[in-house]
Amino acid sequence: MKHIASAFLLSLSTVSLLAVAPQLTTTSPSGLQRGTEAELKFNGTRLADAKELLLYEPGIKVLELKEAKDNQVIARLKVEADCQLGEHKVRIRTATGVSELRTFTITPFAQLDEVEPNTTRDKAQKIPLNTTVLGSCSTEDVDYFRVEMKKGEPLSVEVEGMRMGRSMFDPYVAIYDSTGKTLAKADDTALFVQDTFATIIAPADGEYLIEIRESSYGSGASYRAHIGSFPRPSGVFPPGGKAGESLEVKFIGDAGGDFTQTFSLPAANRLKFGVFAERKGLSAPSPNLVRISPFGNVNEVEPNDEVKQATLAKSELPLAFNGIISKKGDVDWFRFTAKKGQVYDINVYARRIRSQLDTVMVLADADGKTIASNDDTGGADSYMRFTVPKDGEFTLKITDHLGYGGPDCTYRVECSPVVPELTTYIADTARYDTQTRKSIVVARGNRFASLQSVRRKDLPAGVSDLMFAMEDFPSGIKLVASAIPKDQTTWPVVFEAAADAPVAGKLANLTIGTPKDATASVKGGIYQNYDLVQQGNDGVYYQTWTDKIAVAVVEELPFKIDIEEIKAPLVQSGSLGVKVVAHRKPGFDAPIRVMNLFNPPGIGTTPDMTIGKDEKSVVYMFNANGNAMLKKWQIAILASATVDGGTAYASSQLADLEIAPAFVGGKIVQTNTLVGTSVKLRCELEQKTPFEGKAEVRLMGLPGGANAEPKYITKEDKEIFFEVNTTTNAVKGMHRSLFVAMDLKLKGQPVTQTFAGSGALRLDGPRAQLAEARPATPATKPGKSGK
Amino acid sequence: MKQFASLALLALVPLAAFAAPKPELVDIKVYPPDATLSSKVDLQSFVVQGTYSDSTTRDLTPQATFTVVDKTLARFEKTTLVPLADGKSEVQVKVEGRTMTVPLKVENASHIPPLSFKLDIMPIIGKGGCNTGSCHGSARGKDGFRLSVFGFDPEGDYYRITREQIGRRVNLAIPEDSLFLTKATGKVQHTGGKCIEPDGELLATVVKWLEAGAVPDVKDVAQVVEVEIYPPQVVLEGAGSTQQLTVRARYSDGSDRDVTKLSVFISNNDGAIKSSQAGLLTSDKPGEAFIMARFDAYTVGSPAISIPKKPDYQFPNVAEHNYIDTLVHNKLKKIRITPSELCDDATFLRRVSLDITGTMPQPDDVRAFLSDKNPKKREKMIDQLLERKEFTEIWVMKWAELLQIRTDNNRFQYKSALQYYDWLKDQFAQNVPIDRLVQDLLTANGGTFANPAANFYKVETDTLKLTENVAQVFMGMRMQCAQCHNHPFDRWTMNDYYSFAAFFAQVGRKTGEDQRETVVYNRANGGVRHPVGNRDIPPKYLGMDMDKPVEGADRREVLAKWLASPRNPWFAKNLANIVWAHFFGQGIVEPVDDVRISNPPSNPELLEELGKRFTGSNYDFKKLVRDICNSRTYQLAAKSNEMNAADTRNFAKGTIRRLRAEVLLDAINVVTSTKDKFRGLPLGARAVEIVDGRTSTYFLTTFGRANRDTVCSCEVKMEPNLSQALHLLNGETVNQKILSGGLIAAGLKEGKTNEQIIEDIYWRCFSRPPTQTEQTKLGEFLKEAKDNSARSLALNDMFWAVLNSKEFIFNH
Repeated sequence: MKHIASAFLLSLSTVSLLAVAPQLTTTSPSGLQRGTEAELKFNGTRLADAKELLLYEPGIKVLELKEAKDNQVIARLKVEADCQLGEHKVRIRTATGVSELRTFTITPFAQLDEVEPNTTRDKAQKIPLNTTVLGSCSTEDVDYFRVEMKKGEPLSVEVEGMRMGRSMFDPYVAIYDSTGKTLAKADDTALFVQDTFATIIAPADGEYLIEIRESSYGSGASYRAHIGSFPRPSGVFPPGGKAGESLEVKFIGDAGGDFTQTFSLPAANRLKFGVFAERKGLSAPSPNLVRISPFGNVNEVEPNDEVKQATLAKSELPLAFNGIISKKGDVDWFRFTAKKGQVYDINVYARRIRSQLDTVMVLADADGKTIASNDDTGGADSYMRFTVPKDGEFTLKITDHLGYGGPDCTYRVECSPVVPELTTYIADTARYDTQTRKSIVVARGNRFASLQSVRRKDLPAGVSDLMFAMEDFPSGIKLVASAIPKDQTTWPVVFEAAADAPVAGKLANLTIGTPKDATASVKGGIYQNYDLVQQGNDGVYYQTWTDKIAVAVVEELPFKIDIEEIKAPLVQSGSLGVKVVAHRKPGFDAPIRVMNLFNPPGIGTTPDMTIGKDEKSVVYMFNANGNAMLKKWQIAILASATVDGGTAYASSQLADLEIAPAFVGGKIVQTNTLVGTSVKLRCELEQKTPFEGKAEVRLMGLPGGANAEPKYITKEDKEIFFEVNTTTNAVKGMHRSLFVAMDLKLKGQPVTQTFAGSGALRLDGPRAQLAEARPATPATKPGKSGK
Repeated sequence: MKQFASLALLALVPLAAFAAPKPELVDIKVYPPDATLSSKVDLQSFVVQGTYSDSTTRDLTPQATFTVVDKTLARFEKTTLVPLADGKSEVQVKVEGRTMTVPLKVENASHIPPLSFKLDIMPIIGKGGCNTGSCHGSARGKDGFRLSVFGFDPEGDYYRITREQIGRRVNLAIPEDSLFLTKATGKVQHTGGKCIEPDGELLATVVKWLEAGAVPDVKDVAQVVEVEIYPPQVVLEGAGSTQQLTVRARYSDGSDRDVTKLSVFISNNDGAIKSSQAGLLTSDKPGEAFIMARFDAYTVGSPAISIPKKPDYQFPNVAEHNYIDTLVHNKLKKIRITPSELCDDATFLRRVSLDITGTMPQPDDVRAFLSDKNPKKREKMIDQLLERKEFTEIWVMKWAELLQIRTDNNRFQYKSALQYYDWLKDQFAQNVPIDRLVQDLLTANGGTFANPAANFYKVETDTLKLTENVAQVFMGMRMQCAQCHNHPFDRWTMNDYYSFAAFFAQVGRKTGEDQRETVVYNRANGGVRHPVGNRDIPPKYLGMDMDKPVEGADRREVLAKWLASPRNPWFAKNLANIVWAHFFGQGIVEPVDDVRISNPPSNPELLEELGKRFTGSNYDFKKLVRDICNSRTYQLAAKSNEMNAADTRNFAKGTIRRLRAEVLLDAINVVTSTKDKFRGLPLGARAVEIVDGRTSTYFLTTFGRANRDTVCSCEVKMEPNLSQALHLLNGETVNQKILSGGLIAAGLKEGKTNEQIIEDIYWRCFSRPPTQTEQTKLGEFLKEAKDNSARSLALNDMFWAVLNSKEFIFNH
């Protein structure tokens, strides 16, 4: 699915409103009809400097953006006659930012608003056939609609609730005849998960009643109901074909009967692909999913319930077996040949292409003897990796876990060689927040940083470091990132915009791949999820995916930050302050929050710090544990500040941070004393890395009522003694968390290291009490015996 | 319950419908019906019971003479038979001029079997009460010595007596000095005091066992398979009458043994009949008792009745509408209780409407019913009520309680509750027979959204709790005790418990695609382990052997086919009992979900017949309800007579029952003409229709609505209490509803007189007009109120008083 982001630049408006971080909440209406010109209102905040719509799917032309106000922009759109039906994703780019990703729907039908009160059957709203009703249900609201049908005419009702990606709306639909008899009802469907549909053939001329509500009379939200004589098949067979070829499919499960249709399949794509059933010029409002593969099909030939009857693959793997578990308890067998040593991924696609099957797959030898089996590795679908043990014939058995079956229980088993997969995405920055910092928005003359996550699967053995690169970015942006090593799954990437870079935006790709000189080559790009409907602990109810990332150069920001050159290394078991300096434009004095984007392994930092109103810099502490990898890393600090009500981001440069070995190790020798006395506490030193001059060492972790003066050591010292003084009120008992902190200056920068952890000091009560308890014993001098 | 088999005997007795001046002896029975002596030390005691024409029984043992036909084989010591030589013969019993014979078999007459820990010592520990929960059977034992409670783990007990503290508890050198004997006999300080007679037979047996070395039992020692108690039924007249019992155990090796002396006897009503530890019953005040004998893992029982000494009692000649009345009257005759009169038509209509539909009859309907001259009008009304949708709604609510339909935070969302409830409603609406409904629940597979019946396995996910729920809901049994030890007051052992639980051990659950959905499936592997010995237990029906093992099948399918079928002796009876309890305020077994040997039905023949007919009608709820409501017993007035005043268990008068929370609130709404709003239901829907156990109001909670946290019938609280009274008096519900309903205001606006308004309210709330006295008194009260606002105030108060009256709050 090659996409063209239609962009229409708002005619030069000289209004220089600085309002970063535009917010887009919804569009109204929630969709448009294909082949029409219409207005779509974008609701949100800080939208006054809107410049364009970033549209993820093709087929929509922006004719005009008008009435840009803080809380809305109206777009006049031309929806092409061949525009893809269903979900369209959009962001608004303003001169100062990029909004959240939202969705709206393109429908084949004219849209009509629901008119309340239609909460009882006698008040049902009459609507023409083949309409998309834009409705909403308040709590416990039930909506009724009436349609006029001729005998034998098909009636389909498809409701979008959850798929609108707006709120938790789990729709229920029922169709009644004029006497109130239920002809069809549906709640959840395999095809649309929580969303629903029902189809009937009108048994007589007359009026039919449609009921729509939330399935458990839940809280209010909007829905889109497509009501008409369009086909609404529940399944499609075969559910996949070869890329670039034409595929004849049979649509199954519509009340109007099964029928075939031919499609030409596009090139393979990571995103889901579907085919729209069409009958008498009426298209289904949403697709049935099919898979696009680089290989051909083998469709099952019934009877194949036994291994002897297995449907034979006439060509060699890779290929896809397609079948239908057509009735309860149906078993499908396939037979294929393979050569010893070949490795195949055998993936069943059933639930993932919205079939209700919960497959169980058995891989067997030529006689049907089980070699391996799998139930749910691919979600409800089955998956296994098969290394062919010998040349010859093998068989595959597909059944349903619960013994279900039905005419629309289709599935597809793709047997393909292992294909490397490499993608990058931005992880959610907070729980229940799927949108924050999911775009690359760089202010002119400033920087932005993104912490990219990397998903690697089955990469060739030779692949090690990977490089990020820009593809189709707006001009004037530079990417700065070092190679991401094999063992890292997140990596900071800094983007810099030239001071004169044109203010512009694009849906681009951030690619990731092997360097030019690598022996094995792999390339991937953005594959980003957006969890649009989430419900507390129940998890995600609706999510959508993109293979593009929105990138924009925006107007200048009133602040910048830099990391002051880090001269000293961070030593193991040590800490190092990294100075972050803020540059503010005159008149801008808001606090600037800074956060470290990337913690190398073994390194910890506080989540964020703030450069206060009157401050110019802050020292951000980095701590390394004793095992931190000795390596040079690059870090980035991302700053954010509220600019005219919105949150603006600016990043530091990538800065080198070196992890160095510790200078000194050591051990505190356990010591006992009585409260109110002083004691010498010995610490054995183990010199590891020579250091220049004197370092101050402090004994830390002492209990209340005890203290020790700092000491100084050089690289020659083998031990130190701390004079621990205790008061009579000192906390008695065994104290086991003593350690030593060492401070020195390296290249003019203070460096701290700790050592001799878990040191122990025991403080006992005064001796006098012991003496009292044993009057018979002659008094002895308070002395060494600690008993 | 084989010991009841000879209950048939009762049927032979022509029950004295007309009191004869002097009761005649109609039958004599000798117990046990046969005797086998299988060793030199084997004994058998006999009892003789005579049954008289007034259905009383007398112990004729003292008058009887016992002889052995072949005197060389055995001889009698008083009433106890002791062996002499091997062979077969007969025992002759002569009494009251009649002669009865009992077959006799003597084997191994010269053999003295070695004493066995399990066979000989464990019963003595049980008889001594050493292993009860309050003594050494407690989970931590007592004073450092622990035994398995009621002896579920004999190997463990053997270990603890002989091995746990070597040289302390048993002293093989001087057995009499063994600490566990000197403690038991009270010779040394013992918290539990003296438990065994120091010079008794029981102690001697233990000493003998110790002298023989206290050796462990051989592996395949015989096990008790059945315990019999005789006589099976006792009816004693007047205080001080007695009846001796005899108890016999049968073993897996085919032998039997007289265990009367080793059994623990318990009466559940000492006030009526007491039992001595030797098994001698003595009557006291009139009443019914159930006498239990506990031996080994078994508890068996005999019903015993103490009836007043009224030789001239005559049971009145009352009509019997159907089999229910016949069976109820049979019992009443036996215990000399006269049933009350029939209730009047108005009472009947209010009672039957509230019971069948949970709704108040409309005043016009009452008037029409009262003026109807058709002698069959009650039957007609019952039929009409049964066709109303409210009838099924009541039962959907009751089943929703049994199935615990309620939301539970993130575990059971409202959507699931609603779907489960709707499914249940559909089943009732389509009149699906209960056996099929239960089978559908038990065998449910698939997603809980796609197949809401599968919620049965989502509501409770713990295998053992699920097992207990199934037993409690569908068979009325509380199995909980047997999870940790053999049930002390029932027949259930831990083996029974875990082998029943094994049916649910292979239920698989996984989260569906929608996180709120659970997919239930048969895992086809897994089991439950017996805590004693940690062995895997194969599934077995409760109290019944399997026809064939369940290999390969879904265990739940196998169970369901038995559980919800006539082969299960408890299923139909339990459901019939639940229905019965709804109409009488108490079950024939009460509580309805506590069926056990020690809690016998008050009228077993009636329960048996109800169950039989329920099965016979293919579990037709309506038919059962029709039979019950048409019976004279159901239609009795609540007013008692001299004979039935004290009786509470034999359905001899109408029971006065507080309306249950939902019905009462619905009734208040109807009579005040107001509406309530509950979650998921339109304004004005009835409280009976509430889907979710968690949806409640202050009113409903106060009046004891079940929140469905457990399957227990005790969740619905029917007892009146102070907060209920205060809520009705001072709370928001009543007063506010009177005002917002505006009935009085409307009446005044229409220009009605005080009398007219009072009459309206009486018809609405009591389904009857006010009596003359009531009108007069209320007239006095209203006299002061001259203008309409004063009248409105006074009339609202009158309405308030009516709603606070017992006559309104109770079904009578």
